[in-house]
Amino acid sequence: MDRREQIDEFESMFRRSEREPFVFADLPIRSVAVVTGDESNESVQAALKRFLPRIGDVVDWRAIGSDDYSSVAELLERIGSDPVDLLVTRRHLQEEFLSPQHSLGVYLDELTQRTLVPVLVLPGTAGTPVPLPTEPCRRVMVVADHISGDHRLINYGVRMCSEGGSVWLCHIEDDDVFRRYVSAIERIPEIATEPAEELLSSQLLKEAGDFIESCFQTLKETGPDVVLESEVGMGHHLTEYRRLIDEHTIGLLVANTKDDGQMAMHGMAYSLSVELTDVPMLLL
Amino acid sequence: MASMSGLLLATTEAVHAVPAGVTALFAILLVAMIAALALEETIHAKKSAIVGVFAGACLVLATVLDLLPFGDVTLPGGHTVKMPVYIPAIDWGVITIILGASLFVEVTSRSGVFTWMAITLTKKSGGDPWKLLLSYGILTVVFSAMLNNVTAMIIIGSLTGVSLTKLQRTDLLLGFLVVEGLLTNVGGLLTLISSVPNIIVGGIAGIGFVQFFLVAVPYVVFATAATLLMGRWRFGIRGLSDEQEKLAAASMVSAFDENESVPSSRFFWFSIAVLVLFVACLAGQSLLPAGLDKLGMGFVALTFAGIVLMAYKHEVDKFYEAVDWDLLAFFAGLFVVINTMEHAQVLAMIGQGIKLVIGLGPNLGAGLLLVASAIASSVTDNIPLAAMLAKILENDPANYAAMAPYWWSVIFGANLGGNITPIGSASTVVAMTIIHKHKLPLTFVGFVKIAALFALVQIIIAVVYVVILSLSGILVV
Repeated sequence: MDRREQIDEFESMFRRSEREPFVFADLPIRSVAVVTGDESNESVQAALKRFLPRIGDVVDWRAIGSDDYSSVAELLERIGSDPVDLLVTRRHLQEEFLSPQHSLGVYLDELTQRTLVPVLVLPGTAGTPVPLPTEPCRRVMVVADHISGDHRLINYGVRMCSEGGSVWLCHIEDDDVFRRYVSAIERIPEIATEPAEELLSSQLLKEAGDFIESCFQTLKETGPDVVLESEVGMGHHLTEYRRLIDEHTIGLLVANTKDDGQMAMHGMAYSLSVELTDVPMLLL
Repeated sequence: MASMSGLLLATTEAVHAVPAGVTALFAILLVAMIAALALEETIHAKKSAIVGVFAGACLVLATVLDLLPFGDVTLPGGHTVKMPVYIPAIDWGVITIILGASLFVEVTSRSGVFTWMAITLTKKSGGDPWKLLLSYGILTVVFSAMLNNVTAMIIIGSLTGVSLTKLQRTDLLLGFLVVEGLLTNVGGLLTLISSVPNIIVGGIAGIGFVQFFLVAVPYVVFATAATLLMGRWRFGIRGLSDEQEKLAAASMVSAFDENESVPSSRFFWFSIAVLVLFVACLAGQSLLPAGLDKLGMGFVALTFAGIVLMAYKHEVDKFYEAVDWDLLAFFAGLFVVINTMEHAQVLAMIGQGIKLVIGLGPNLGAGLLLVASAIASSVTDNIPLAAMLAKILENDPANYAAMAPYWWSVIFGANLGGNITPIGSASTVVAMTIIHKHKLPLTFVGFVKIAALFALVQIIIAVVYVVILSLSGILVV
């Protein structure tokens, strides 16, 4: 082993010992804006209070109906001029006549990307709304393709869960992407494929596992009364998340949508929110 | 070591009358080898290959010119054995110490004990740059003394890069790495087995482990403090004063998990225990009972290597692969070259020159020898220099007793000279490698401009220290 390799080995060892400790924050949700089309705002508010009891301390409910805006710019200006802590809306707002199936609709798309406010997407679409469950949400699933260090995502997941409920922290490494790298390694004679594959896979999952472990510790000491569960593994994002939602009867999905490198929504979040229309989602 | 010297004497007893032209020819070969070693990177050849070529050439030439005393080697007890002339030329005591110690370090470092210490101190510093420099500086010295200066630089240099990046203080990285590089050669002075020049010179001079440590420790403490304070001044490394900054830095370094690199707590504690025992055995080697002391320090090192290897008995071959065979082959070749130089009277010729320096008296002479050794080892490998000078001093035992200041001049000079240029020692080469890995702009001349002042101060302190020891009668001619 030459000197450069030795330096690299020790650097890796020290980087491996770096931990990202989870920082719990009880996020304030005091004002909520419910953005609807023709749907009754009051009934949505009532359903929300039942479904998410921990937002019961909201003192400022704002109703934004179809008469209050006629374009995306108008809606964004209205929200921007009087900020709230949470937006609630549905897919395909004002697009009922288009009967779209493979998109979120322009309003939801823009709301998630042009504001920093979390958006709670109600199940179904504006044209064919699906009512929220009448029972309080006791199972929240937080999904990410890189969960380590995502404090905000987890804190929102915890914030939305009813007292005594469960929050599932899930990290699925996309095995298609992983296979692609392994097939590249297979073509490099200087790298032994089998150990490289094993080490890479275990390191990717270990980072997520370590961070989730830190969440367990922190929430146990300082967090609210929720039970944390975790699922860390490899697979196809959509297939795995759909399986987990069904398996654990998840009531609310929490995901990131922003991507620093692009204006459009984060790839995984987009596919989840387009395909899983029957599950309420909190998009950050 | 004593028995090896006996073997060596068996081959060197017969002194030939060597024509001046032959001595000059071998002297040219010696200079060429030293130049080739200095240009190791440029000619893209490993040390062992360079010295191997010269060792072969020297042996052939010395045989053709009838300089070597061929014949049986006489063993203690009067037995004679047939042995190729170049075998007893090698100081196997030195080779076994290096082989045993490097295997021992390689296995114990697997326990994570050294990375654990480094990360623990990082966390204790609270991420404060000045405290971090103090921690890393002291750790560099300790690791250089316990392991070797190259491994110390690799461990501390790697952690410095990672921790300063985490603290978002990469502006201080150059200063940290330069100071650490310069401290490896100070730490290399702490014990008899901390660096190869110490092993060679100390072995030939007959300086014991404890005796060496007691003489070296005050200098190492003083030179370390001076280097750290100069580093603080030269690179503007200050402590944090703002409470918010302190909290943020402490939070960042607290994220390191010192137990991550500890694969098994049982092996971790076993390694610490064996490490302590190893140092104790080296320190008390001369007091070992039942004549065991005669087996020498090399045997102690190999025994402890064997003990720790038992923890990985099913994969010992991996550790054999990790041994620096280039270094060991380099030593073997080097001893052969020096042996032929001795027969060709080259060492006697250089010895005459050194006598002129030493003739200036134990204070001025020792001081000048130290400075000359430092300058010489700044541009070439300090190992041939130390081996050659030690051999020259050994050949005049009447004048150079074990506690003569000249041995210490060679030890201090050979170690500290490595701090003047980036190629002066293997650990400064590693420091430069890490500096370039982080894309920091530091050229050969740039390094000399920064390091020269540090090296000058360290060498001045060493000269003053040797003179004080001479004047106080601790070192005597």
